[in-house]
Amino acid sequence: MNKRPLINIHTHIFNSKCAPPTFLKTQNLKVTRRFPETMMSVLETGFVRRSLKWISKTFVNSRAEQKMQYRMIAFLDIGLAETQEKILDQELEAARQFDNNARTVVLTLNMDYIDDCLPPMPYSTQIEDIMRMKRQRPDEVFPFLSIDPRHLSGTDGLNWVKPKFETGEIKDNVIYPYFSGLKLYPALGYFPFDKRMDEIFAYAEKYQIPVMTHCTRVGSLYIGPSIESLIPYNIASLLSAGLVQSVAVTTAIVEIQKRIADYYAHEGWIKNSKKGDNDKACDLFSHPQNYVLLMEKYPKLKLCLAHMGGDTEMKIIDDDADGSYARNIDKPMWFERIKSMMIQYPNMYTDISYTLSALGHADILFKLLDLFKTADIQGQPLVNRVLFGTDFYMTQKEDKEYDLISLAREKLAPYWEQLTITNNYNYLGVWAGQELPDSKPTIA
Amino acid sequence: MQLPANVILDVIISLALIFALLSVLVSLINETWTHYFNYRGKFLKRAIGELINDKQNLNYAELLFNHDIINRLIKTNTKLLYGLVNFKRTNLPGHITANQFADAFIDIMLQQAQRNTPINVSTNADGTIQLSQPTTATPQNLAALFQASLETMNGSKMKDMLSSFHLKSLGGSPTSTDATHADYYDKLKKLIGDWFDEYMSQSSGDYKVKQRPRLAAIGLIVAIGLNVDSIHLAKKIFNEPELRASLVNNAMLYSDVLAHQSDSVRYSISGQLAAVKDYHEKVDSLIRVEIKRKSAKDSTNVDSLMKVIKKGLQNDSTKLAKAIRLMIDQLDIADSLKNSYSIALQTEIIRLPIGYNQDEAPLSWFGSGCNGDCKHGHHRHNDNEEHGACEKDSSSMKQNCCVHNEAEKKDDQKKSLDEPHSQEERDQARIMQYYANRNAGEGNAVWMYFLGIIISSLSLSLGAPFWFEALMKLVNLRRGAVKPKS
Repeated sequence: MNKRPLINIHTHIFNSKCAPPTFLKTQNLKVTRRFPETMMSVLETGFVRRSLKWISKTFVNSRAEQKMQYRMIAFLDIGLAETQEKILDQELEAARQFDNNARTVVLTLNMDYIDDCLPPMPYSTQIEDIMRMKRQRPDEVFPFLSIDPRHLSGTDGLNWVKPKFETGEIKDNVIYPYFSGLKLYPALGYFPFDKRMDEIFAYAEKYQIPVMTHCTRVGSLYIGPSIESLIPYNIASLLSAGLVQSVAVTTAIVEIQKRIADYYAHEGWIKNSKKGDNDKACDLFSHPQNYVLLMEKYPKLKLCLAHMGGDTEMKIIDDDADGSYARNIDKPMWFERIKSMMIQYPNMYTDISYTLSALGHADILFKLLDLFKTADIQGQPLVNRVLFGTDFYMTQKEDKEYDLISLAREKLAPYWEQLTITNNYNYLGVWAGQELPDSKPTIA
Repeated sequence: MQLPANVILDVIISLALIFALLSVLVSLINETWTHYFNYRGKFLKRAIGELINDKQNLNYAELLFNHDIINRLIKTNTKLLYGLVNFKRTNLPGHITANQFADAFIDIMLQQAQRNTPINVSTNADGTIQLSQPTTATPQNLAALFQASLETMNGSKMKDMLSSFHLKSLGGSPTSTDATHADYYDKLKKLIGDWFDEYMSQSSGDYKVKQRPRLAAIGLIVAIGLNVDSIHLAKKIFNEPELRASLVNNAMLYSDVLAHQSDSVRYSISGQLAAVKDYHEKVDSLIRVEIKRKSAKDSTNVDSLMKVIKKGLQNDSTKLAKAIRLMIDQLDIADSLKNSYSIALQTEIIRLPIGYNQDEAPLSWFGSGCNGDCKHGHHRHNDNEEHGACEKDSSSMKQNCCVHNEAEKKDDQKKSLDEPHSQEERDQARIMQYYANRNAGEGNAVWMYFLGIIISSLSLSLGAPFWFEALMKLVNLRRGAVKPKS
């Protein structure tokens, strides 16, 4: 096989139709939380967005603020695209300025359960559309299947997942399964160690199916009205029976329980809210320590904790409001936790998606390079398990895709090929496509 | 006062003509609005969603619109003002044929089965994972593929209905093979196409109902924008025989043009615009003949005279033409611009009593309508009189244009009523009194004005087809009732 092309391991192409009409509640603004549907229908109008851009251009003096507003409108423009494929094309267009044959991993998101109402395009339809794209461009797009214990649990979940990996398309004698990995987004309202997903994780571990999970305090979140029912005081009911009793597991359980109790103790942090004001509560779902329970049970599971905890969890000076509220009850910072877990678990990965937008900051770059050089318990540098992704189109709020990739290439020049090709394909394994042997094996 | 039947009919015909012309404008604005905001496309997508979205299975409408056959109908650019303004936006198709629908929908259904091309996943002895292609055959014929697709679906009404289509296409026997049913695809396509067509014909009724509030709103904007007070119009047409005659003649001419068009053309916007254009050409030729007869000696002079007239109408124009032109400038239907302009021109030629004038209601309620010489409260008595009349001398001003104060006005009225006059003079006095009251906003004039505007807006919201149909019927009725002059 020739040298493989650059692959962006972390992008999204779902459009506004894949999200419920109340999706804007995820934005921590009074107006969007109170009138999410009205705001959505207003912003859906291109004329309104163009007018906002003009207002920003005419009346906002600060260049930085103007740029931020422009970026926000650009983000909305992409998210409100008519089809997912149009978003995919934009991503590939940017990536192909660096490699003519660039490929992309597309992380689907099941948003059927984030509120009380269904999206116009429910998850089943979202992935049907993705599968159509995979049929048409099997060597360009590599989708990840989003799983959620509230969707299907146990064997039902597994029976739903299996055909997605065991069917696919063949092109140029290369076999491409429809899906190349699994996507977790716990902040949408579940714990990653939920026993209802055990069968799926066992399957993923057995066949080395990569798992990608969102791991920052910010992002999309559960915006429904019953957050309290999703966060039990005692997590024992969520844990699977076969969990190994080790020091790491016991410590993790105790600390997770304590954290939940602390959050409940703070007034308003975990409280049912019709406005979807669950920002702080959803930290509990995304917390990196939750994955200790997963890795202890499935040590060979290829798990990537995306975003390295987020740039606000990497800062040397903790001046950011995103996580500072929890600093007293949640130490150390998420980046440090991920780093120590990567040292401990040789199948754990991380990626630089979204965080790459902060590579211009010296302290972030310093911490990242330090992580690259750190050795794991087997003596291998952690850089071997750092993946390149951008988190398109979420990053439109920060900068253009082309500029972000340029920034990463410039700052991480010595590691560029390793991050974008070697590590990414190691993580994907055969699920990025495998050449067929000359003779076709017969099915038993 | 006795109201002769043919006068009332003429008034109604005249009003129908005015509403017909202005309804074209309403329809034009509505079409542009609908086109710009893509209401038709959005409605169609929603209607198709209601038809094929299946909660137990998939949201097939989204998949349908992403299918190549339909996706290619989606336009991504909107051009306004001859392409000077170009917006990047998605315009969903406003119409999908039953053939396109059936082809795309059957494709989507078949893909549900085709995607089951299996992959064998195994673990090698060294622990590596191996993907391979098993030799199991996938169904090859169309009927079998469709059957396989149905089997992938969860139980639902949609599945039952599609199963029924499948069975009917097979001729009722589920065990039939494709070999004996070469026309399976055609039958299935026809069944699905008919199902789509029936639903869409129902939906188009819903669409019309949904449009009514928008048409009423646009009707109101046009009625206010052009100052179309139906009550005043009716009175004015009734009181001015010359105007009435001119309008009726135009209406008959117009009706003749419409009578030669087929229904489909007559009820389409483009057909109506073409009729307006055709009508305009007829009027144009009539004016030519008239000019020739009266003064011009050769065709060159006729042409130059026509140019002068048209130029005069364009530049001088009264706010009406300006207002219509301004509105039309905002419209996106570039091809109709010229034709729409002819509506403006036409309204000028037949002197429709609409538009704003500072000496008339409602502008006259807010300030001095005459020039600076007339500093007192003033009221135009007759719309046809020029401002110059006010300036000539104070006596004519008092008589024809302005009433200096309430006392004087009452004196004048008393005098004119007390004095013995003929019936004709008394009618004239009553008309003058009506104009005076209306322009002064006295009595119930304000309420009547707003009532007139509301009646106009509701009338305009009935749409151009309604008024064209009414116009033709009324003209036929008149032709049957009135003995033509020899």
